[in-house]
Amino acid sequence: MAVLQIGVLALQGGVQEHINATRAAADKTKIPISLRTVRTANELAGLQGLLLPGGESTTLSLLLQKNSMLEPMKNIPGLFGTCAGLILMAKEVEGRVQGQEGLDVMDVGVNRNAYGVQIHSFESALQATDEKNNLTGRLRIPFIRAPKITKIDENAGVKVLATLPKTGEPVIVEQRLAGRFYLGTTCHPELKTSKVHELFLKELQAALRA
Amino acid sequence: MESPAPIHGTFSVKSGLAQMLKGGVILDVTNATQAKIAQEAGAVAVMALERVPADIRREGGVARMSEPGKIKEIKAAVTIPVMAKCRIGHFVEAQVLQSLQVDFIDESEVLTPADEEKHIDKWGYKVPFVCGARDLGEALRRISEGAAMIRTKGEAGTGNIVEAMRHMRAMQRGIDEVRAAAKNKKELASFAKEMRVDVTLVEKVAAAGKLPVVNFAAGGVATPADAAMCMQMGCDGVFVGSGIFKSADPAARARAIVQATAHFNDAELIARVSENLGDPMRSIDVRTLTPENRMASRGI
Repeated sequence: MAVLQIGVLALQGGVQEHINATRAAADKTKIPISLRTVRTANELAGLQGLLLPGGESTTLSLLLQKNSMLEPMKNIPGLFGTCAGLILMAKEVEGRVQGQEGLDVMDVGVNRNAYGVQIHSFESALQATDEKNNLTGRLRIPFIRAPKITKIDENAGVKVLATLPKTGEPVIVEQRLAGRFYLGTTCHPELKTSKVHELFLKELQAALRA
Repeated sequence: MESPAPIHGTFSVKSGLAQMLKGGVILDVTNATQAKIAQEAGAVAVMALERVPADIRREGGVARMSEPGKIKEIKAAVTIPVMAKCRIGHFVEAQVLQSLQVDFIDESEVLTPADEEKHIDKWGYKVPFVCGARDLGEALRRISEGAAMIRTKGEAGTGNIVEAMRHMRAMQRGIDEVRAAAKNKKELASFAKEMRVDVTLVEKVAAAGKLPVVNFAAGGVATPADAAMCMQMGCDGVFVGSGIFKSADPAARARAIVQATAHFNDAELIARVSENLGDPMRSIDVRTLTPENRMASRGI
């Protein structure tokens, strides 16, 4: 089996948590990966998948722009963003500050910090849209100053994988395109489980084979 | 069955915000204009306070929590998290800051301590707390009280990194000692007794080889190279106080420190961003400070 070339964007945010979750996911799925941290445009070369950790989206955007990383990142077939990472991937962003640029690759709309300030941050069990594919089980997953997904383009292949139980708000979404796989979460599964990372590796591998 | 209702203010939600700040720079600001400059420079959060430490040193008097109107003004000016300082042991300042919905509270030795006996019991708050520490024992005492994030104390307002360095080394030494004793229950118990904390906390550090919460550097960071050195020493991120708004060109210096923190191993980049920043803040040789002028020895 070909070794998947996976990177974790390491400019700012919960980087180590994603490294740990990705390593655990590779062990569990037995998918061979080569994992590296990425801080410059040169380090993006040859990557098949990139994880975009949560952090501050304004900070991440600024550092990506300064290092001319946004354009080369758009060519990576697999992207998985949590929280701020999803904000970077979304085509539509409400509440972006002036000058904040993203990748504009995923056909979803998000509202930055929609759940409000830190005292409104919470942890919650998630509701899988397909019980056979329940990624997080009964684990409570943290939402930290989280964005909300406000728009989903189903015609473009975007699918909701999990929602918040009471409100039905989408919190894990995927998009399948020819030879590509995008995954985005408003919460932080990397703090609790490697299950969502397992899905990312499996689906990315499948997308690259197709 | 677990309740499907979301739960707020849990420790993983509180320490989770600190985890998302890693690799970032948190800047001291006293008003909305400075907060905007900080956000535009790429700060991951701002810290609201009445006066920056260099001014507190110069002017003397009692340094308190920032005025609520100022905090509101700063919150309205930026979308990044807003932290604010309260005095050590001043649990009502902390209650006020929580009611103002700041994102993080710094129970800080930089302000004049309100209680020389006890720190705030931080478990009862939904807002997470960060506290300063000079060594492992101090850090674990603060974590026992509910702190969700630790920073070195350094010596604030001096522009001198030497004390932060001392505290980073002491912290690492403490962790190494505890780790070396990981298999010896009796020895861990004696560490716990010496540090005045529960042995389970010491066991956690021994097993993980690091603090159970995020650990930033603070106190004396004045240049991009200072920030990068703290990162190379193993800190998770950097607080910069007087170093920005007491320098000749705050916006340029803030941008440079943000870049140097993200690329802390890239000496060429640090050299490039350090060019033409103008004068750093006016600095103080820590050895000339009298004991009563040392902030780090407050609230241990």
